[in-house]
Parts: sequence; C-alpha cells; structure tokens
Amino acid sequence: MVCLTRFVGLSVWRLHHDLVAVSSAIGLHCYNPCNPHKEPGALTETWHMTNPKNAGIVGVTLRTEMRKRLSASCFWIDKELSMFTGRPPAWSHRYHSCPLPYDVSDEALIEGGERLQQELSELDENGWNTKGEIYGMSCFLGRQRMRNRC
Amino acid sequence: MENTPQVLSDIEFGVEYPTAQSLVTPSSAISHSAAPIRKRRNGLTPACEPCRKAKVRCNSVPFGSLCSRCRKRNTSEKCVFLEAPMTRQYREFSSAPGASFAAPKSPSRARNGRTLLSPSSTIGNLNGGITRKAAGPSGFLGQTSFSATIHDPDDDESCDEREYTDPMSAINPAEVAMGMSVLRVLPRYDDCQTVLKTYLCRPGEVGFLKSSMQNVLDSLFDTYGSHLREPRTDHDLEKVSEAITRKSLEVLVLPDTAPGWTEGFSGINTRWESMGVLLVAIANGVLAVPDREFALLSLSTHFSEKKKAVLAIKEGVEACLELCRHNLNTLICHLLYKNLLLETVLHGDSSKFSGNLAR
Repeated sequence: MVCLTRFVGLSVWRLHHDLVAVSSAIGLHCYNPCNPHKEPGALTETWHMTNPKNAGIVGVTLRTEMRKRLSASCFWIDKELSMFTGRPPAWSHRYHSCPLPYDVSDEALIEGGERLQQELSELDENGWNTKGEIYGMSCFLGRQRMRNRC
Repeated sequence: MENTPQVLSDIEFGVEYPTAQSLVTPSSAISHSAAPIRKRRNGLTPACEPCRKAKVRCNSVPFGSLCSRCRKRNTSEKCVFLEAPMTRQYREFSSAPGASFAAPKSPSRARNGRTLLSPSSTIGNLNGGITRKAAGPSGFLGQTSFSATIHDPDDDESCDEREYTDPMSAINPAEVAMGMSVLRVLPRYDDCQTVLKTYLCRPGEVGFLKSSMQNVLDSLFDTYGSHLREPRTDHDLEKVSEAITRKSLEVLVLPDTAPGWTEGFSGINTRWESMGVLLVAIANGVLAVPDREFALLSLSTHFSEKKKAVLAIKEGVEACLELCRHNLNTLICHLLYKNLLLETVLHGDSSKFSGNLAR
C-alpha cells in the first residue's frame, strides 16, 4: 500500500520542479541521437563519439540508453506526482519526443558490441524482449506504455 | 532643472503608485517627497540604484536629482533611489503581493500619451532583480534553495552584486569547506559496502546501472582511500574535497561505451554529482537495512536511529546539489531524480519505509 501523503509535501513539489527545469534545460525531452549538437544539452555536456565517421548514425549505446531511461523516468515521475496530488503536470507529452528505452538487460548494455546487437535484434516491434525476461526496466516500460495508451 | 522626468505630470494625473512611499525619482524627491529617503546611518546621502550596484559614489546634488553618472550614461530612468534595499523593511515590501504588480499599472501612462520610460516599469525591473535575492525567511524557494542557486549568471543583470568568480579559474574555499562536510557524512567503507549491497539487491533501481553505482563506491575508496581512512582528519578531507571540487568544474564527458561511460564520473573523475548519487543510494540502503543489522553498523555509534542517519546523509546530498551547480548534465539530472524519490520516501509515513523505494 503506497502512502499517498508522501507526494503532497511542498518540498517534494519544489524538488520535482527543479528536476523538470534541469532536465528540460539539458534537452532530455527532445532526444536526437543523430545530431546531438542540436540538443540544448550539448552546451554543457560534451558528446563523445566512439567513431567520428559514424557520428551521423549513433546507434544504441550505453550512453544513449541511459539518457532515454533518465528521460522516461523524469517524465513518469511528473505524471505520477500529478496523479497523486491532482496538480497539473509540469511536462506535457506534446513536448516529450524522446523515444522509450529498449527492453534490454543492463549486462548487454555494458558489454555492448555483438551481444547488444543480438539482444536488440530479438526485441519485438514495440521494444520488448521476447525471451520472457523481466529486467529492471521492464516494469517501468509497462507503466510508460500504459500512459501512452491513455 | 533640465531633463524633468515625467513623474510630475503623472502624479498630477492621479496615477497611483503602489510603491510611492519607498521610491524616490529624481526631482520628485524634493517636490513630492511623501516619505523622504532618510540619510544613511553613517551620515552619507544614499546612492541611486545604478551607482549602488556599481559601488561608486553618487553625487546627486541636490539630493534626489539626476546624478552626474546617470546623466552621462543617459540612463535617467534608472536613476531612482530606493530606501535601503537590504533592510528588512524593504524586503517585506518587495515580497508583498502588490509590489510585483507595479508594471501592469503602466497602461494608465500610455493613456496619458507618455511613451517615455515609466518609473513604474523601472520598479518592476528592480523588484525582479531584488526579490529573488531577498526572498525572505520563508524557507521555500529561499536563497538557499537549489533553484535559486542554479540561475545563469550570464543572464542576470544583478550578477555584479554577487561575488562571481570564473568557475575555471579558481576554487571557492567555501565550496571546499562544504565538500568536507559532505565527506564527513560518508559512512565508513565497510558500512558503505554493506548498505549499498542491501540497496542494490532490491528490485526497482531504475535509470542507473547497478554495477556503475558499485564502481563509484569502489573507485572512490581506491583513489582517495588513504585520505578517507578512519579517523578522518580535516587536512585529508580538505585534499579530497579540493580534488573533487576541481573535477566538478570540468565539463562532464560521457563516452558511448561501458567502461568509459562509468569512468567518466568515478575514480579520479569522481564529481560531486557522482558523490550525490552514491549518497542517495546509501541513504536508501540505510532505510532498507533491518533494524537488527543497523545496530551492527558502525554508523549506529553516531546515530541512534536510522532516520537520523538518513537525514544526515540527505543533508550531504543537498550539499552535493549545491556544489555541482556550475555544470548542468545528465548526471546532475539523475541526482535530482534520485533525490526527489528519496524525499518522497522521507516525507511519507516513516513506518512505510519498506515500500518500493524507486517505484
């Protein structure tokens, strides 16, 4: 049983809006892997390409996935807080164009290379893994998709 | 007096200034001094706002007229005199609800056909610049809140009031001192390990790699272990704090692949952001540790209750947030996210700590 009072505090609300302010300032809402320099966050975070030749087509890497996960987490907590408090959300889905992270295991992300490619190829068209595994991200993705339905 | 400001005629038209009692514009000070500006306690005449900000002498003779500096710079509309803006009296005034609505009153001036810069819009500007600094003792969105400190100094006209140093050139000793207080909060290495293990074996850690969290802790003690050995001395902590502060001023570079990605913020690259993320994890871990095990931790010698320990660690996290305000990056965003989750847990019923923390 979740205690709802934990969301209503003013300190929680302030911290939440700090989070939204920073995440939108660094461009978490408009993920653009192909040309990261167009992201506002490029001003403060240097983008390091593993292969400068492929700078145009950044594939799925640990960094891009972590960025997507963070973006999704921030977006979700915003909706969660507004659901439990009845206050309006600070972040409209109309301005959230960052794609959802893929349902791949942390180990594959860390290992990268072939293993990651293999796991990616085993995903279904919605980004779920087809092996019946439940990773940390899986439950989270479920909630996100539910939100997208509504 | 040349260059008679428009105020006189406005007053004739009966325009009501909500701030009239504390604002004196040139020349109206003499003719319409509803509440004359008092002399300063040291006997000198007060300076106008631009001169006060620039910390230069203001030669407004007779007092209240346009000073020579403003005349030279052709900024007569800014040459206003506010009554001791830093005193409590003004602070209360500037946070009063009516004060911020000074600007919307200006349409009445347009009706009068006055297109010149209006004094009331000047009030609005000045208030905008000062209110944030003097938000008062409310505790919420005060000067010490995170959002108050993160504002961009480049866009801020009042930045010359702040002691602003180029982040790359020098390390602020106050920040080093603050960092030392963060390091004091960090539990002993074996405590950290136990607690972090408890945290990481729980489900629901979202958004951060478990292994990299462990790596932050291990590499921190690998790199600075000799300085963080118990008992920690101020001298050692100062060195560590200085190194981390220096690192935090650099721009965060996160490579695409795993080893580099983790190394970007651990080991010698440990920043206050990563320190904060680690402390949040430890705080969550302390909450998750059963009471019986908590008594076995050396942390329990300092704190009688779990909650007290967690609150102390939480203070360290807040200090980390304050320390890494120079750079915005995904890591600080992550820290904010984790801090928010921790806050929701702490704010809720303390008996329900065992709920899913990361939700």
